[in-house]
Amino acid sequence: MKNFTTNRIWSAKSKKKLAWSGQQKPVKLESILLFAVILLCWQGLSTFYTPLVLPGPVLTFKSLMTIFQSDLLFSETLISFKRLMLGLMGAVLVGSVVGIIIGLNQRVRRLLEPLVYFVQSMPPILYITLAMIWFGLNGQATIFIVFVASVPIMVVNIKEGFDNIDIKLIQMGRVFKFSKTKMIREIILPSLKAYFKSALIIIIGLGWKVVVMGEVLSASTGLGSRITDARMNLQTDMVFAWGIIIILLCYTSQKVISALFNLSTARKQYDL
Amino acid sequence: MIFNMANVCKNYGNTEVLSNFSTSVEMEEVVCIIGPSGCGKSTILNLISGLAEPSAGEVANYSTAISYVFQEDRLLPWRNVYENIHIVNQNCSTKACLSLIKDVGLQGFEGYYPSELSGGMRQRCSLARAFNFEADLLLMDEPFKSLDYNLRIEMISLLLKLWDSTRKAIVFVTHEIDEALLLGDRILLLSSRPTKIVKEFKITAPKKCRKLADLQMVQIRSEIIKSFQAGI
Ligand SMILES: Nc1ncnc2c1ncn2[C@@H]1O[C@H](COP(=O)(O)OP(=O)(O)OP(=O)(O)O)[C@@H](O)[C@H]1O
Ligand SMILES: [Mg+2]
Repeated sequence: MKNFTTNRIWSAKSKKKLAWSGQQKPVKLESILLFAVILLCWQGLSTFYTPLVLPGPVLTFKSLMTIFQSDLLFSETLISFKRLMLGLMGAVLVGSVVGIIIGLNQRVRRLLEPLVYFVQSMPPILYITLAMIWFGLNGQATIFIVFVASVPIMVVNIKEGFDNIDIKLIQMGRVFKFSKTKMIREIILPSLKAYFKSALIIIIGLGWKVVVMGEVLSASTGLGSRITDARMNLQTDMVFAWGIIIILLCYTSQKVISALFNLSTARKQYDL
Repeated sequence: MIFNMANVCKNYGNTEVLSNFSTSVEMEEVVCIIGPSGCGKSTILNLISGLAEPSAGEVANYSTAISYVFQEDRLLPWRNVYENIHIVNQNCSTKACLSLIKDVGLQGFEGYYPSELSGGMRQRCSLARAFNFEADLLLMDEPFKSLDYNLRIEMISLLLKLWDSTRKAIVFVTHEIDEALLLGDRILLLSSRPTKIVKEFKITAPKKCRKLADLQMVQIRSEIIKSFQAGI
């Protein structure tokens, strides 16, 4: 305690990883049981129907294996992922900028807020249809709809973050003569971080669903197009298998984002 | 004179906190403010620091920079103790910063985040931060609350030492009469709202060699207590 070296100041960083790995709980027996029960029910139900209507878990698993063995999995996932990322990157960029401007400026807020809620209220099927008309049946339409679906979520979350910045900290910054950049770097951005994180998790989850939906309707490549193919060929088991892959991708990417953020805040998660 | 307010009124909605309030702070002077809870002590400090605007009246601030120990700690939750203190004065050397941390008894906790500290430790961190900021006027809003007796004594002598070497003007809000007696050149006793200065005490004895048992101290103290008992 007494022999202090400057290194100690930063030692907090080295502890972060520890704290984070400490948070991961072992898989509980209950969840394994639950999973088994669901599988059993699925198996039971599938005996009442033809595989065309409801393929059983075994058949689905076999199809899953076929997909894993083909090159399709990687190439199609990559295509969908690229579209997702392009749409999301656009949304994060535009959404953050608009959100920050709305947060900083009351006048712009009054002007843009209704527009944001208008876009948010649009049913996805509407802008998918429009995207198909405007961009034709290719990937661009998919990128566009990911973008349109995500931007308002980003904006609303950042705006919410602005509304919740602790005015007392801003006052503190003013008293201690923080420059504008220091104010943004030290107070505003860290305050927005939690909101940015939750927005990112929401839009990456939504993004996967929208990408696939867009591809099912408008594209001949990507994960969604595989589902369309499987449906056309009456391979319901393949629809299930691709579905499982998409669910896993969606779930994993949300977890990855969450973990990335936790990594940088692990030591600060205690209640204030 | 480093600060002056004349006939200041301050309203929050319909609550009139200050009406026709006048006071001033001289260079190198330590002014202690005592008054009932909710009478507007923090409001006065906010008016001095410019965080609040008077509803009417004049506020004149001649200081170059003001440092402030807020009533709440107002530390950055995402910065550790060292960073919270260093951040207000980036020219401050690591060594100076660390010795300041030691002065307030937080050595060993440099890497801790505010959420990992006790209330009193956060308060001391906020104290060190205020000391680290270069200013000629220091505002302190109940800076030693939630500290134990020993720490309080230590912090008082630290503040005296600091004042002795820098001669900053200090406005010190407190509920502890003894703190005011030991630190103040002047003690303002405030009434409850609408807030007036009920009494003003001048203490002439040099701060370094004051004892609470001195006659002047005992007298002032009993007068303050009497005023409280009479209900101000
Ligand atoms: N931002 C504000 N909005 C509305 N009313 C306020 C605000 N700040 C203070 N007040 C009111 O002003 C009065 C004085 O508040 P202030 O915080 O100055 O009291 P205080 O003397 O510091 O009390 P304490 O000793 O409990 O800290 C209170 O009645 C409070 O309700
Ligand atoms: Mg107060």
